[in-house]
Amino acid sequence: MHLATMFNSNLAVILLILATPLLMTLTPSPLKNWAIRVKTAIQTAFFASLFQLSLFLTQGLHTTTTSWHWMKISTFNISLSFKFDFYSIIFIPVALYVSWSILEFALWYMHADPRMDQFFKYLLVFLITMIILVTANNLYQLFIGWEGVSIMSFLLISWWYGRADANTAALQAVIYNRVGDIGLILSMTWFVMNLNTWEIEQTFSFLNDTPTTLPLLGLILAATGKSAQFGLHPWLTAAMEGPTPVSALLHSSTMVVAGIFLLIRFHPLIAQNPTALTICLCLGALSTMFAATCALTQNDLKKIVAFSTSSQLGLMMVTIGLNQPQLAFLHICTHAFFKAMLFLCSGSIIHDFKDEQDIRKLGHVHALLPFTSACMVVGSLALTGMPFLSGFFSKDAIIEAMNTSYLNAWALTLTLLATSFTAVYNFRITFYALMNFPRCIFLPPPKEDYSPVRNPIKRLAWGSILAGFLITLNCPKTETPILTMPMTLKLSALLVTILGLLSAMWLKTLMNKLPNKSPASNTMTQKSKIPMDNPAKIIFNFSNLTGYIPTIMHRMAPKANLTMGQLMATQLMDQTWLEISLPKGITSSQLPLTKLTSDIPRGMVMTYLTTFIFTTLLSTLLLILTQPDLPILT
Amino acid sequence: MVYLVFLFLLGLVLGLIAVASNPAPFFGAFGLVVAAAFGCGILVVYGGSFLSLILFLIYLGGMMVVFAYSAALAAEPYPETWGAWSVLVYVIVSVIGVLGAGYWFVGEWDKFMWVAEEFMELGVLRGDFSGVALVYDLGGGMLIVCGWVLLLTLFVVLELIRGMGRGCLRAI
Amino acid sequence: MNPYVLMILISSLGIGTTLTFMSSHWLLAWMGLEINTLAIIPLMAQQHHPRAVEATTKYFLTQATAAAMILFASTTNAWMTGEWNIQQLSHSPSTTLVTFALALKIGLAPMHFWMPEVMQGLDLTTGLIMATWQKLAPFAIIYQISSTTNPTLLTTLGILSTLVGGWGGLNQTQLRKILAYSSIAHMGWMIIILQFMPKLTLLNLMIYIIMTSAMFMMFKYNNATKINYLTLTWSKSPVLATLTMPMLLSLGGLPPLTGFMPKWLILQELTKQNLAITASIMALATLLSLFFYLRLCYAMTLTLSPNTTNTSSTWRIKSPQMTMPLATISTLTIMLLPITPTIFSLIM
Repeated sequence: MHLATMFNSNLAVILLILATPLLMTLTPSPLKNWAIRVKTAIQTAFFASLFQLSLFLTQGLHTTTTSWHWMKISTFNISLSFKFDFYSIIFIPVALYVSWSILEFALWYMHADPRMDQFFKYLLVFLITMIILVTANNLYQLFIGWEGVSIMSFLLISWWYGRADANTAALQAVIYNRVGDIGLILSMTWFVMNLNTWEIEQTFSFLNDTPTTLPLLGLILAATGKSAQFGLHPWLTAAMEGPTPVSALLHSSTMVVAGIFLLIRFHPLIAQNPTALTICLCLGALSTMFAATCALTQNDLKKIVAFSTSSQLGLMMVTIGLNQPQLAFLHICTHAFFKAMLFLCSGSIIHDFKDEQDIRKLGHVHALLPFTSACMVVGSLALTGMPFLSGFFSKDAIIEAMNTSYLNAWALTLTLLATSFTAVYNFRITFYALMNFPRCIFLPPPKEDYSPVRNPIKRLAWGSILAGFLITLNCPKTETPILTMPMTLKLSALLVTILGLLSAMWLKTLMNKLPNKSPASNTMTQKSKIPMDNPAKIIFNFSNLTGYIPTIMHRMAPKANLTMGQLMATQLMDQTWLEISLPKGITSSQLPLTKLTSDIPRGMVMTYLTTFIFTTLLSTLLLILTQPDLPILT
Repeated sequence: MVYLVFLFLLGLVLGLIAVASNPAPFFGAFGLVVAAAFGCGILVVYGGSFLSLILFLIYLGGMMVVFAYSAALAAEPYPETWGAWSVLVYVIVSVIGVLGAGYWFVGEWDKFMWVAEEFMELGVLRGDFSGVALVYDLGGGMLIVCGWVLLLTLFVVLELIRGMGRGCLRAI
Repeated sequence: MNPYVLMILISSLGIGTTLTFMSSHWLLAWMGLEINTLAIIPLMAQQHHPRAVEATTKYFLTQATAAAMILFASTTNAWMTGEWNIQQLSHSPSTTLVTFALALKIGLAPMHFWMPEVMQGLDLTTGLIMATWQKLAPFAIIYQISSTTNPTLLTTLGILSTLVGGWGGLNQTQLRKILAYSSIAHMGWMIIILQFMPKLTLLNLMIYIIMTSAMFMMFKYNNATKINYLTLTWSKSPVLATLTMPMLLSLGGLPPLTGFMPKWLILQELTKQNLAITASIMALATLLSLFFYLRLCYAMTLTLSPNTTNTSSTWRIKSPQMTMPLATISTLTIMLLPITPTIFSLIM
C-alpha cells in the first residue's frame, strides 16, 4: 500500500476515534460513563498512532504531505493540507499518551464534579485542536488549531468560574494569547500579501530576497504569547487556578508548546535570519532565567511547577535561537512526560491534603504517599537533568550545543544559572513537601492506592525514565554534533546543577542555625519598612512577587488606563464638553448679550430717538462716503 | 420791499427760536403762530399769495388744536417765559446757531426759491389761483382726507384730555 | 369710552391702513400712516393707567418721528427727482431715510426699543392690534420700495433684529414683552428676504399675523400676562393648554407646524441666492427665540402650579368670551403647513 495513504488513513482513524465520543453526545439520550469513554477513546487513539509511528521508524520516511483543495479566493488557494514528518509523527503519540494518563487521573480527581462529562469533552476538544495544529501544513489550519486551544484553555481555566481568581486567570490567558495572535495574524497577512500562499512549505521555497524580519517578528510574538515567554508570561502561572488535570495537560503536551512548535515549523525561515535567531536566544534566556528566579521563592506547590514549565519553555526558545529545532522538539517531548507527572503528583498530594497547596504546610508526604513521593522525586530528577532520565537527553544536549556554539555569552550565562536554579527549586519542593514532619492536620489519612491515581502516574514515570532515551535513539540527526570538547564543557550542565543543589542544601542548614529573632531586634527592623537597605530582601521580594510584573502589568497599567479613562470621561467629556462648552458655554456666551439687550432700553424715549438718529445719520454718512458721486442736494 | 422781506425772515427765525428754546407750552405755541404768520408772509413776497392764505388758515386751525393740547396738558401756575434762565440759555444758543448757519450758508440761495416763477411781482392775476380749481377737482378726495385727519385729531385730543383726575395725559 | 368715538377711532384705524394700502403717492401714504397712528392713541390710553399713558406717549413720539422722517425723505425725493410715486424712490439718501423710518415704525433692531415697552403698557386686545394690524401699513410701503432699498442695510437690519429678538426675549417673564421680542425676531425674517423675494415677506407677515393673533387671543382667554399665570391654564381650559404647545412651537418655526412654512421657504431662497452663511445665522438666531417659546411650553404644559384651585374645575364653567375666532386661528396656526403649495401659488 502506498505509504502516504496509510499515514493519511491512520490520522483519519485517530481523529475518528477521538471524535467518536463527541459525536456520541449528539444522541438524544445521555450516555452513562461518558468520561470513561473519552479516556478509552484516547487510549485507543494512542495505540492506533503507534502504528504510524512504527511505520515511520521502520520505513525511514522523511516527510509526506497531503493536500486537498479547500477553497479559492480569487487567485489565493487555501488547501486542506496535512504534514507527516518527524515532528508530527512523534508528537501525536506523545500527546496521546500523556493525555490518556491525565484523563485517567482526572477520572479520579474530578469524580465529584457535577459536570464531569463536559469537562472531559473540553479536554477532548482541546486535544483534537492540538492535533490539528501539529499536523497542519497550512497556516489557515494551524490558525484553527491555534485558536481552538486558546478558546478551550479559556474554558478550562475558568472551569471553576465561581471563583474570581479562576476567571481572572482565564481572562489573562485569553488576553495574553490575543496579543500573541496579533503577531500570527500579522505574519499570515504578510504571507498572503507578499507570497500569496499560506502553505508552509511554499513560503520557504517562494522566498527569494524578500526581507523576512517582519513576519518572523510576528511569529516570535505569537510564540511569546502562546509559550509564555518573558513579557507575555504571567498568564501561565495564573492558569494554575484551573483544575490540576487542566494544568497538567496545558503545561505538558499541548497549548504552551504550540508556540515553540510554530517556530520549529518555521525554522527554515528563522535559520536564515540572524536577527530572529538572536531575538529567540535572548528572549528564551531571559524567560528561563526569570521564571527560574521566580520559582525559587514561591510557596505554592503548583506555582513552582508552573514556573518550572515557564523556565523550560524559555530553554526551548533558547534552543530555537541556537538553531537547533530538533533539540527543542526533543525537549518538548521529554518535558511532556515529567511535567505531566509532576502535576499529577501535585494534584494527588493537594487532593489528599484537602486542597492544601502551600509547601510550608505540607510535609512528611514521603511516608503518607510513598508512591506519589517517589514519582515526584523521579520527575524532579528528570527535570533537573539527572543522567539517563529522559530530561537528561534533551537538556544536556541543549546545554552542550550552547556551550560549543560561539553565540551570546550573556544568554549562555543566564541559561546556566537557570539550570542551576532548577535544582534549587526542585530541592525546595522535595525538602518542604516530601520530607520532615507534617505541618498540618489531615483527616482522614491520605490514600493513594486507587488505580486511576497509580496507573497514570506509573505510566508517566516510565515515560519520564525511558522516553528521552527512546526518542533520542530514533531521532535522525540532521546536523553533525560536535563530538569533541573539553571535559568541563561537557559536564557543565551537571556541574551547575550539582552546584545549585549543594548551595540550596547549604542555605537550608544555614537557616536552621539562624537564631530566633528577639522582639527587640524585631522592633529594630520595624523602623525600616522599605527593604531598600537590605539587598537580599530586595532580591527576595523581586523573586517572590514574580518580578513585580503582575503588579505593573495587571495593576498599574489598567489603573493608569482607567484613571485616564475616568479623567477623559468626567473631565473632558462630562465637565468640559457636556457641561462647560455646550450648555454652560451657550449660557455664558448668550447671557451677556441677553443682559445687554435687556439693559439698553431703560424706558427712556431718549434711547429710542437717539438710536434712531444715530443709526440714520451713520448709515446716510456711510452711503455718502461709499458713493462719492451721489447727488445730495442738487 | 427789502425791509419787508427782512422783517418777515427775521420774524420767522425769531419765531422758530421762540419755539425751540423750550418755554412753557403756551408760549411755544405762540412762537409757532408767529413763525407761521411770518412764514406765510415770506410766501406772499415770493409769489405764493393764495398758497400762503390757505396755509395760514389751515395753520391757524391746527394751532387751535395745539393750543387745546397745551392748554389742557400743561396748565402750569407759573409758566416759564423767555426771561427765565433755563429758557434764555436755549435762546442764546439758538441765536448763535442761527448766526453761524447764516454765515456758513450765505450766498445766492434765494435766487431760485420762487414759488410761482412766472409771476415774480405782486399782481392781480395769480398763477396759483388755478391751484384752487386743482385742489377741489383732482385733489378733492385728498382734501376730504385732510379734513378727516383734522377732525380725527380733534377727537383724539378730546378723548385723551377728557376727565380730570383719571391719571390721563397731563402734567399734574 | 363713548361707543361713537370708539366707532370713529376704529374705523379710522382701518381707514388709515387702507389709505396707505391704496396710495401710490407718498403724501397720501404718509397721511394714512398718520391717521393710523392717531386713531390708535386713544385706544391705547383708554385704561387711563399711568402705564398705558406712558406707553401711548412713547408710541406717539416714535411714530411721529418716523412719520416726520418719511415725510422729509419723500419730500426730498420729490425735490430731487420730481417724483411722488412710492415705487419711484430713486434718490438713495431718501431711500435710506425711509427705510430707517419704516424700521422705526415696525420696530426693527436697533430701533426696536419702544416695542417691548409700549407693548407692556397695553392690554392684550390693543397689544394684538399693535402686533398685527399696525404692521400692515408700514409693510405696504416697505413692499413697494423693496426694489430700491440698499441690500446691505436690509441684511444688517434683518440679522440684527432676529438676534435681538432672541436675546431680548430670553430674559423676560412678561408675556407681552416676550411677544414683542418675538415680533422683532419675525420682522427680521421678513426683512432679510425682502430684497430677494418680497412675496415671501408678505407670506411671512401673513403667517406671523395668524400665529401672533392666536397667541394674543389665547393669553386674552386665560387673562395671562406673566409666565407663571400660564401654569394655571390647564385648570381653565385643558384643551387650550394642550393646543398652546404646538402653537408656541409653530411660532418657533418647527415642522410640521404652520410656522415652519415661512422659515423653510426663506431659508431655501437664501440658500438659492448663495447666502448659506446668512441662512445659517438666521436659523441659529432663531434657536434663541425657540428657547423662550420652549420655556413657555414648559411652564404651560409640563408644570402644574403648586397651589390648589379653590373653585372646582373652572373649565366646567362656560367662558363668556368668544371662542370661535380663537379656535379658528389656533387651527390655522397649527395646521397650515400641508397647504403650503396652495398658499405659495396664491402669493406668487
